[in-house]
Amino acid sequence: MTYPVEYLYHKEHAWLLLQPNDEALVGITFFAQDTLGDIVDLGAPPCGSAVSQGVPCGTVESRKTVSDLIAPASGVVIEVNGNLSGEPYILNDDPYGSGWIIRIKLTQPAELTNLMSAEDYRKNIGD
Amino acid sequence: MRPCQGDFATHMKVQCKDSHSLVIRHLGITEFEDVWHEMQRFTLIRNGVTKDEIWITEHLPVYTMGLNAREVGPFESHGIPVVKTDRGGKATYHGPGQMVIYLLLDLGRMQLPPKALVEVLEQGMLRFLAEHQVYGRRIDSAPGVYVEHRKIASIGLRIKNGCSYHGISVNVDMDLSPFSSIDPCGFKGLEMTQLRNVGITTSKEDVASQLIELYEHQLYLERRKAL
Repeated sequence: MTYPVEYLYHKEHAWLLLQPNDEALVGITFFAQDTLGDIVDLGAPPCGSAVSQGVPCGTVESRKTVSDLIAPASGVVIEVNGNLSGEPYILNDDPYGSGWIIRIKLTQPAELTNLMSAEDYRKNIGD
Repeated sequence: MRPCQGDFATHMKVQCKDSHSLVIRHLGITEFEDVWHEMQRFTLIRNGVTKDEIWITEHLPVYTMGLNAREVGPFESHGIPVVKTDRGGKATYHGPGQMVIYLLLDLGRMQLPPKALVEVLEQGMLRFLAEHQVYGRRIDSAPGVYVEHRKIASIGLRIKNGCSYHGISVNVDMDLSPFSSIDPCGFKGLEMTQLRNVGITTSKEDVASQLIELYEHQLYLERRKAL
């Protein structure tokens, strides 16, 4: 179950899980953590910062490589997962559960139509 | 080798050769910051048909800090500049006598996952050592190339829009003492070594050529896989 069907997916390998009140959880997909390798550091956008769909909003470091974290939707960060700073490997072990990165308040919910279903994302990555 | 076209080439007095799909640029002795900003610019403006490039250079003395090198405390730099940069990894030192090889590759186009690029860099260096009858090794939890417990080559990368820059630095025949002011790559007490110390007396230029050939071959194989 590497691409749960309840989630929406951005082509830059981020997922979004819609929550009540136009909020959403955001993280990176199984494909992302698998191709990055062991994650050693995460630079998440801080609370209160704005993120835009498709735009880098933070960084992920794995095996001497810094990659961009791309926001799957536009919004304002209202919570950052504090468990990840001390245990960044959670992003590898449980990318869809305890590996959630930020909770955002969506500012443009209509943008969600730009995201893919699990099935379309799998096709996109050639799974 | 022929002179290259373009502003950057003119400024850096670059010589390059053009293979079918990879441009190799020998930059000579450079300031780290100049080359770093050029790598960023190259990566920003490249497109789906831009050829991949490998740049080879030696830097004037400089300490560089990786993007997440927050816990690197103040240290005695003895007047050597310290630059915070955007690659993975922690603190390292660059100076004359160390060959630095930068890989500006469209990883998405060659369908190479980021973790595999680190392996390409390590394997190329290990192969180089083996060809010189030196047993090198890699450590899974600490990317880089080691001879016994001493580090001989350091790796740091940045990926932007699926394209890489930064790369690997190989200690050839240099003054290693500036490394003792820092915990190289974040490891306390990590000793550095160099090709000269392990009995490899190949010139810097030949080291660079041999490594480039190894990397070109490995990348060619990766491209073939993606077809």
